[in-house]
Amino acid sequence: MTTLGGAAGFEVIVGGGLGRTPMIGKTLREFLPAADLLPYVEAIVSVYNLLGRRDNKYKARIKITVHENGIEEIRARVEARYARLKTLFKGADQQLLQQIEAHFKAPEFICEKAPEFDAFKEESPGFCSWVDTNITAHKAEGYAIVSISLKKHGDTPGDATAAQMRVMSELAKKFSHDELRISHEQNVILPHVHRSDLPTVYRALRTANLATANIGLISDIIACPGMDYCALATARSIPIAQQIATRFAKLELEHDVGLLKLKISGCINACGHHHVGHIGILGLERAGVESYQITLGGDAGAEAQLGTRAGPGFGAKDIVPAIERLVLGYIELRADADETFLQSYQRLGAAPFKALLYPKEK
Amino acid sequence: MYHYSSFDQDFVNTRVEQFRAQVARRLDGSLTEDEFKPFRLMNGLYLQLHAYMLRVAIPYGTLNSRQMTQLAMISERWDKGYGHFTTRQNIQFNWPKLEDVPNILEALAEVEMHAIQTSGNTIRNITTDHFSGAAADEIADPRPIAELLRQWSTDHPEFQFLPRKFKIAVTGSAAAAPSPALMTLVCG
Amino acid sequence: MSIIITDSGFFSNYQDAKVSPNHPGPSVDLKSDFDPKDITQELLQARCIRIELPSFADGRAFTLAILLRSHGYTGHLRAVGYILADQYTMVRRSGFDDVEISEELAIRQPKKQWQDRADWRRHDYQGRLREQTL
Repeated sequence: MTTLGGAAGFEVIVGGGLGRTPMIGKTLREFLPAADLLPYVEAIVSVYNLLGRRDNKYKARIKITVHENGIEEIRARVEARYARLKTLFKGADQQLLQQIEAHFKAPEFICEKAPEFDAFKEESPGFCSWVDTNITAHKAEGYAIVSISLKKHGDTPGDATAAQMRVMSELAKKFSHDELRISHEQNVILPHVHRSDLPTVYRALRTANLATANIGLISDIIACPGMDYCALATARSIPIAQQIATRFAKLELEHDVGLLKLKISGCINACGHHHVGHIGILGLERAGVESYQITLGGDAGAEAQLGTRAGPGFGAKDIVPAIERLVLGYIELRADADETFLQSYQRLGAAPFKALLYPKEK
Repeated sequence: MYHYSSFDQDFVNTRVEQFRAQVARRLDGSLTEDEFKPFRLMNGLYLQLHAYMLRVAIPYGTLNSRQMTQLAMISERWDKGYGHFTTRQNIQFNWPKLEDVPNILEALAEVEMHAIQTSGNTIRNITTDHFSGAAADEIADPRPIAELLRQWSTDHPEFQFLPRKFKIAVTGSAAAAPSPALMTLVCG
Repeated sequence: MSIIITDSGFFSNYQDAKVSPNHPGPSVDLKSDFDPKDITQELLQARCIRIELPSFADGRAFTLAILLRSHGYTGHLRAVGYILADQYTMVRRSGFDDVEISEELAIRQPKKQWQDRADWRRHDYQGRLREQTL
């Protein structure tokens, strides 16, 4: 019997994905017992291997297979395949899982209350602001999760130099039980830091230009490599991300704006996840010129939601001012300082936000 | 954190030597670029706008300090001194030379890392919540499941030439859970 | 002329590469778009089934081979067409007995390249996961 640290099994969702045809996944099975994971997943991939389209690479992903054949047909085929595969897994897989679980035993936390660091807070407003944005609650008392932002205003999102990697490595070794994580938002995490070590960690990060206090804010941008590197790209992403971050740093407004997920893709393949950005930017090429389309209201959270296109695209020179109008306008529109951009958008609908992006000429 | 068994270590060591041989065959012309392509993709090597790009797997986004230090060394020795962390919890090196790639893969294998199945029409790196095992609101740590899936999908004979790439994510986050006892497995 | 490749080397005709003699049935050729719904008892009695790979990147043949074996097919299974030496392990692990390629391809991919992959039971995660114990 597999315990999975308390979980009984899985809900299995299939056929979601972004790219040029974004789709929300569908539930293939509401309950899969933990022990049947491998035969069931193998059945899904096996059915997809035969049924997925090979005549058109833009229609080859499983989301299209599910869309074209219907979830019922996929389910019937997967269940048939699963019935045969189930008998082929005879126990070694579960034995291996138990061995693996032993590797992931939680570190020995020193569960004692950390001394408050109010004194340091007073002497360093930068530390205060960093604690506000970059620290997340840990399951063990006295500990914190530290997010290291790789989104210093004006730098390339997600890039780290060799020297910075060594600093993060050293901090993980000394202060985070030798562990680091990479987040899908292109930041680095120190997962297990004792709260009493936070001031030391902060100082070391600041020296290495790694203490930007902007996790979850507008300058914590996800951006694909875009035309600066990628052969598929139709527009630049990195310079747009850099300009937006620099502009908002100058306005000194991003902490007031609060939670805002801005995501930029340099082509319709959507590696920058623009469909699920509260504000998404898609860079295209129109008659040899870059054109940036804005989508609004996307959400990558538990209630996955695809954003809606706001209107015609903006030129490379006009996109940053457009984002600025949108965000400054939101501050006027929000019910109070706690209402996030996404919540305001959901409450008020697209119209007032479109009016901000496309003001009528007087 | 997971540490390689001798089986895992033998596997990645052998894979490095196989790729070294494939690069040699490409350079002497006995493999065409078309034929070489799926094998370089299986080992994370793309041809980008200006150069090759190597995408290194950071399985379920977890690594230790020794591995991070090795990534720093690789970026200095064989690239331009920096790396790019991606939205799929991997790291990309943007300027490696084809003939250096087998040595980079060897340096990765030394610290229990690889670039296997980070591209190509196959099952890609399994992703999970980046706060796994630390978050206050978690049903279970999804990383053991992700590691089991990593091993199961590695070099799976049936799934190396799928119609297109195939991505799996496991989440143990309570916020995403359909019921308090279930993790979510997402295939797309 | 085509070349047959087995674990022990290259053969230039069918007689030299042993095809299981204990099946009385005919030899059947399948395309890679064969629908597994059409697997019949008659097909499972075949002496030899050849599955064609129109391109090395068309992975359907691997699933078809595994499906035929899981339906109890015990006759000879051969992968035919555009197959690369590097795929030999996948071919064997999927249940194929051997590979048939063109002479042109065999010249470009000499015996040594196939022999390097002939030890297909080593480093096999799937085989390992399907055992009773580790």
